[in-house]
Amino acid sequence: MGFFDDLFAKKKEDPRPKIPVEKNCEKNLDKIKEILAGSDDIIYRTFFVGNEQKMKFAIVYTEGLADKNLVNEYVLKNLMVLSRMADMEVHAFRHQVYEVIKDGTLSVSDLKEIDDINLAIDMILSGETALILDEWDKLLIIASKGWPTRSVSEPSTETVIRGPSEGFTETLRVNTALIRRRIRDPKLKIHQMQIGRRSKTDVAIVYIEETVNKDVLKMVKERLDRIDIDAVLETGYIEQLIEDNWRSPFPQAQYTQRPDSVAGSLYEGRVAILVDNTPFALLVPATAITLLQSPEDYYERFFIASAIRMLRFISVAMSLVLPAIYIAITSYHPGMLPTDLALYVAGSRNNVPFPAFIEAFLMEAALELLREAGIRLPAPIGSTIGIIGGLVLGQAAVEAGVVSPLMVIVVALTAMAAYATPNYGFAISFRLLRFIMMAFAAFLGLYGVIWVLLVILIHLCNLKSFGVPYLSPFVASTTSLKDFKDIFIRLPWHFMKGRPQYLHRMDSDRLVNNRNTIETEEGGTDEKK
Amino acid sequence: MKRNNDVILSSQLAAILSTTIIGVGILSLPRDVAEGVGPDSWLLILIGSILALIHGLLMYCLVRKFPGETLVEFSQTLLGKVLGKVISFGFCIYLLIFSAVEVRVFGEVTKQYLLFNTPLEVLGITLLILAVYLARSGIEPIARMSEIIFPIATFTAVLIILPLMPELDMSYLKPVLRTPIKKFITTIPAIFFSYVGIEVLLVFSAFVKDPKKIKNGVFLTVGLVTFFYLSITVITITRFGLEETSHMTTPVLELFKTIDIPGAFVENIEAFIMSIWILSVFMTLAVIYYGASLILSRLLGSKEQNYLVLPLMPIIYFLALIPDNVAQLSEYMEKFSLYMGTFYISLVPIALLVISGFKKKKGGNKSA
Repeated sequence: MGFFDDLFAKKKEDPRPKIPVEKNCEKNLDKIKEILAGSDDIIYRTFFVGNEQKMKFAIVYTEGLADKNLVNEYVLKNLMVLSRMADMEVHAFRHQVYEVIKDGTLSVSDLKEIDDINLAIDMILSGETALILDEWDKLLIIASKGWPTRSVSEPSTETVIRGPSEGFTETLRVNTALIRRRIRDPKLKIHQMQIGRRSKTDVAIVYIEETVNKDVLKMVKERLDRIDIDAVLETGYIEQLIEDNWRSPFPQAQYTQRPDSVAGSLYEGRVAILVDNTPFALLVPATAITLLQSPEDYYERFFIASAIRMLRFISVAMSLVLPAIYIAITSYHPGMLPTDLALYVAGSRNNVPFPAFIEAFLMEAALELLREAGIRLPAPIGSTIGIIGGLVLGQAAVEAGVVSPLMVIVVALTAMAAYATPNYGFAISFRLLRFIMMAFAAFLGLYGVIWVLLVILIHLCNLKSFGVPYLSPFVASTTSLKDFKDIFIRLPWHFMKGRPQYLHRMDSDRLVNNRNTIETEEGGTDEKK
Repeated sequence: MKRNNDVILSSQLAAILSTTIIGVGILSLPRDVAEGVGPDSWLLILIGSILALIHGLLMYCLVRKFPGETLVEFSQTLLGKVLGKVISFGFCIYLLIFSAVEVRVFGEVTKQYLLFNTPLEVLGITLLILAVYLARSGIEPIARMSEIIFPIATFTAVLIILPLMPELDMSYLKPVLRTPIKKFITTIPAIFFSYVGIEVLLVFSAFVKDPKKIKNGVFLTVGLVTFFYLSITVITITRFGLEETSHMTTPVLELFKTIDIPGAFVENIEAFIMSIWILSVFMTLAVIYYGASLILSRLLGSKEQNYLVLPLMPIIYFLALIPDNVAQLSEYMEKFSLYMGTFYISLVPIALLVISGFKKKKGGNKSA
């Protein structure tokens, strides 16, 4: 695969000068100590090796990040105790002592030789152990990363009824392993790099070589290479630095906490970006449709999955327009309602001192406050806020005559609709736009609603996520009709033989053996001959 | 950030042309045909559609010879620099006036049916701002918009018309073929002008990925629009009868006013219909606005079209405010479509096609 080799061949140049390793253990150790001066969590240990105790060695590691047991049991014990039993005077050993140590003494699986002290320091700070040998111009880096981690637990932000309850953790290695467990394909590639001048955060680009869209992969790589920031603490940093249009209220990358969701997207031909120290993975490209899908859509039987998906589309529309339509109809087009209802609405609004827009704005703002307060408060108090807020928003406000009962229903419906959207970032952009839409509905009635809808639509038509139109597959240039099998409804698996066309990848067959062929094979295998 | 690379498919071209053609014309179409030919309206629309198809195919024959070129470029090769530029500039003016008409009609109708107290100026300016936004975005977003809006508008329209079915009286379409031919001929211009908008093909053909497929786009456009016109006209006439239809200013809106969806929560859905209609008027405006700005930018030799969009806005706005009232507006519209419309829709493309035919012959003789 020449393309992939080219893509990842270029190495980023390290701006710092290389500090060569000298042939003197003391000098090397002093250099490391000088650079790491003032850090009391770095452990330095010098010791002598061989039955004559002539050779001076040293190890350096960071306490807490390195696995102490591994260092004690398999490095120090082997070098200090077991090596004494070997006869160092044997001719072969005298000249190849370092090879023997490297290949025969250290019983650890991952060893690296490096000749740059700066690089060694990066390694030490990320949890590896550096072994400095006397009279040798290389350092040995022993992979000893091992720190207390949170165990794999259920993702708190994306729960499903049916499906695995494993979620990502804060450790990149665990996360890649969770993905690898779902894709046992040699074509699954995990390309790792470091981003952040100071933080040196590990970032992994994950993709399946034969299904990925090469243009997207190339763009991801280029944009990640261009990032020059001091620290990356969360995928949000990366997301904001590589997105196509920072002015857009809509997220152009999807984040998820679920390894099954990432695996599913990789099979569809998308690219995942994993960042160390966060349980969230980024998926690109993201389109409006992918942000509205939940992994459960594929686990449930298609009737239920399709029905829930339709419900979700309606809920997104509701969370955007419902209060605006209430304002437009009550203040501009009361004639649209049946006479009885119009009279009832007018009657219930009789005691309300505010115009419809103020009334709606007050209630929606109170709802957003309640939501924000609910997130910030510790869990035990959170439920209290819910009760208080519910009472204030509902009963009390109506009884005090501040809002009409119909408005309370509208607000409650909007809130429920907004929470039914699977992607939080996508839902929150709609929440924001809802307020703009309410303002325009107050000025221009239904025309205002249409006006804002058109502005949003034009914006979405302009928007692209890594070169893929945001409204794919509703816009034709890269898609075919086949893609609609998995949009509003999800057809049964045996109808969806192809991967989504709008992500245009190489290997397009998803399901090769469908039900019909299985049945015929059961009947008689003559066809194969 | 990467700019859109300005390529559309023939199906997208069809969506653009259809949304452009269906605009303000549809509101009065049933009245015009009912006035002219009475029960034979459906036949007239079919004849009109054949004319529009022939006309579209003629334009296709013309643009096929100049792939990747707009009217500005090929009129200059065919007519010479000066005359070509004059013709193109005239086309730009034509599109600007056309935009102004759309804006004004939109304002008047919205004021009459949706927002009774909102000033015309506010309605016009808000619609223009929207059109500026889309026209600045370039051809690909316009194509995507039409592709999304056209199905939405058609689907909703069909859905809303369904409850009308039991109220239709087909006897209004009888007797068949009793209209004198003379009347047919005098009404044909009216139906032909309801296909106004198809001439933007002269500009938009330059962006189509596979120029040979423009033909499919033309067929698709005329087919879709004819189906739409035919069903609307037949339904309006069979619902109201000939007399009533020919006396209404905007029979289609009146038609929607009478719809009563059984058991529905919403009673008078004309506001809802108006919203759908706003979508299609907006698309017409955005497309011709974009066409005008594109022609102007090509004439001025500038590569970027989007800088020219905003300066055109006040021109359209003031043009839209010129007529004093609806009566004057329709008078101006009639004159406009009769003179400029005829010139640019039929005369220019046909003349250019004939000239290109001659030039090709000459060239062929030389090489032979």
